[in-house]
Amino acid sequence: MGKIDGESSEMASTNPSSGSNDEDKPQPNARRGPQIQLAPEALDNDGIALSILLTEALAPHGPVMGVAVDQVVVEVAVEQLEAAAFTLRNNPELNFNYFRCLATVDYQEYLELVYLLYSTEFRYQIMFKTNIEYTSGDIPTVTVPSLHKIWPAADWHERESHDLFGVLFSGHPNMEPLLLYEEFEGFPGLKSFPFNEYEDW
Amino acid sequence: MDQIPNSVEMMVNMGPQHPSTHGVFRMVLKIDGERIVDVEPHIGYLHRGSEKLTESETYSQVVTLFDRLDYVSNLNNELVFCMAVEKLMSVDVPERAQYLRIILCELNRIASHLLFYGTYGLDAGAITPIMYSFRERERIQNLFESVTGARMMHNFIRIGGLKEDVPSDFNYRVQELLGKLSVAINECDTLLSQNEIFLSRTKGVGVIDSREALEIGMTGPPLRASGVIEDVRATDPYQLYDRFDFGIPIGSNGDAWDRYYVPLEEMRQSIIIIEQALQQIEEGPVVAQIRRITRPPKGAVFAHAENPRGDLGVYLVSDGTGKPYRVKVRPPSFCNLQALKPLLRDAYLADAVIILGSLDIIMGEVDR
Amino acid sequence: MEITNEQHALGAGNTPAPSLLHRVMPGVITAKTDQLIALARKSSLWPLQFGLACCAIEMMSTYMAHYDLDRLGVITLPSPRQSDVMIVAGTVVKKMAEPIKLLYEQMPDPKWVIAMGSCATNGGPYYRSYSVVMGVDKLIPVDIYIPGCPPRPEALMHGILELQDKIVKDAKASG
Repeated sequence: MGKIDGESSEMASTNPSSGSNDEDKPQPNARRGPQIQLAPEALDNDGIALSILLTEALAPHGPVMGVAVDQVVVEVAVEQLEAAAFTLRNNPELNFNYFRCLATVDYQEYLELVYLLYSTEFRYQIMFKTNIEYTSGDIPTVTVPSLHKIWPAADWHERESHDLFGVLFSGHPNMEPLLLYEEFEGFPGLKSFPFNEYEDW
Repeated sequence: MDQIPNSVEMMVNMGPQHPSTHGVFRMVLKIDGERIVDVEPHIGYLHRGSEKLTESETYSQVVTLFDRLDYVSNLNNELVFCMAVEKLMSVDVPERAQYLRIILCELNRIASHLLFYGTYGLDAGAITPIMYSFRERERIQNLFESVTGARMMHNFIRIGGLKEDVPSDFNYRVQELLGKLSVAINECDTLLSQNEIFLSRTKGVGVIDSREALEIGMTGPPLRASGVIEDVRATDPYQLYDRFDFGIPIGSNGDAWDRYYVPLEEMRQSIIIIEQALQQIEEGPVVAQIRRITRPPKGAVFAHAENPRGDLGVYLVSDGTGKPYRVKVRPPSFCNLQALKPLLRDAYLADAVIILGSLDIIMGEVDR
Repeated sequence: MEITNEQHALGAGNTPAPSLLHRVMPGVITAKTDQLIALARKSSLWPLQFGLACCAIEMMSTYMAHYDLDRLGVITLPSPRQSDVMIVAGTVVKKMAEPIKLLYEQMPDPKWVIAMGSCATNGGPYYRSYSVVMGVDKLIPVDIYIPGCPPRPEALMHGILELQDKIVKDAKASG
């Protein structure tokens, strides 16, 4: 039974630094809201070993390692994306042959693409991330290389990401709208999409 | 294929309203005589914007949205989301709650597979199996109604445990139900599995081998029917599944019959799991001591579980407030539906319905 | 030969009111044509198989053995040309609005629409979503609304019985 309270002493390793906290703190005057904490990192031994293995294997691509509660996170730049994905798939010690999902998160200054990968042979799970910047207005114009040649399962996930967020993928065979109807304007996944707007029929 | 002079490829539209498309799904088939040359699936006819809606609802309200994703296995969906939030908040769910969650989720798995069995029989042309399977579903839904208060959208599995404890005659009722269900599953098996017509319609139809199934991203019973041993309950056990001793049915041929028979066997294994859980369960609290207003710490988490249709994953990004920042659902039916293109290539037109039915898709999940 | 009232007035069960016509032609029902036709129509409503989302599962449960709808004369059909009721069960998404209108127009008159569930009534739990039509009555005229998420099979049966009452009432009113 865990009691999550404002300050708890066992979260020593993830003591929130004041920089990221101050702008996020909810500030109604009458009550003291709890401080925003960072999620605890609970990587077990297999995860730590995987983390070291990935750092070595992806060294030429400059990975930034991280942890998301209990999964290893690898972040690369967009230019290195295709090469790093190739390594992840074909390195015999990693063999990430199963593409789970592509999640797109809108952080309002940049978009984050999270590829969730899985290796059926070694039972490794990782989150493979990359950031793409908005360059003009709020529509991203950075083109991400499509990974569907490496993992054919990425096909519809990339189509959906394009449909809902406007991410451009190069080299994808078919970019037609998947979930939305043809005349839909705008990208509903983005935070800037007006939420309560409703077109009357 | 020989080119018959003056033959034209025809486009056949199996539109959004069709008795066998399992929801609103549209396929445009390009056929040459009786053979299918290509298929273009069109989805999105049930895209309700659940993921965007979660950004404006509190965590407990999001649980009700998850109920409606894969609308035949409601409790399993709720469980995945609650697991994600509990992982982020490092909540220890009490053991009684975990056992009860497992019992309810396995019962829901049986109900979901019964629905698949019934509708698959209907696709193949058999009208009796659906009557039998829905009779059994009524029994399970009756039990759910006495426990959770609703037949379908239960909203029972909450963050930190369950909504409330089960009634006092729960053990007895479940034991009774399991007895009837075993008899019923054997009955359903006898009805359809070795039926000559059903065998000739499904054996050898829609074969996909294990390498291609993994490549295209299949999951759940269709993947196991192709011979791949992947079951989240065994490879990445969650919620006390490592305390149970159960089998995982694996198919050998990867054809439609295997994809039909694997869920049938899984129902039997679910009964075994529930019996073991009933023996191991003890008294105790059913909800963890957490705040009523959930405010998880900032961060991202991925949680997944074995739904009746496959591996449902939730990628949750929280920014520390009471509403999630981003919830991304990885629906198993969406990934299985991608396999439709390779499966339908060079198949007969009459097999299109059988192959589509064997993938066991629910459109609420595909479109979200 | 004289047909006396007593022969018809005394009998088991309901005895018909003795009228002139009954003395001449016993055993004949008379009613307005409209009412007879309404009786025929309401007793054999054939809905279009149109399950969109979760309410479709409850609709299927209602058709099946436990809460049988066949005893009300309701048989489900896949083709719109042969059906007279459309039970819209589930969320109506803007992408699906065109097909729904097409299907409604393909159904022959007289036709009725039952909006089952809160999604078809007013958008339901997806009330402010960007891609959901807030209720199917923005597209087609609806006769009966059944609330619930999803409505119980008994609620759907009650809705169909209400529709039957409505058919009878409409026939009486127009006659």
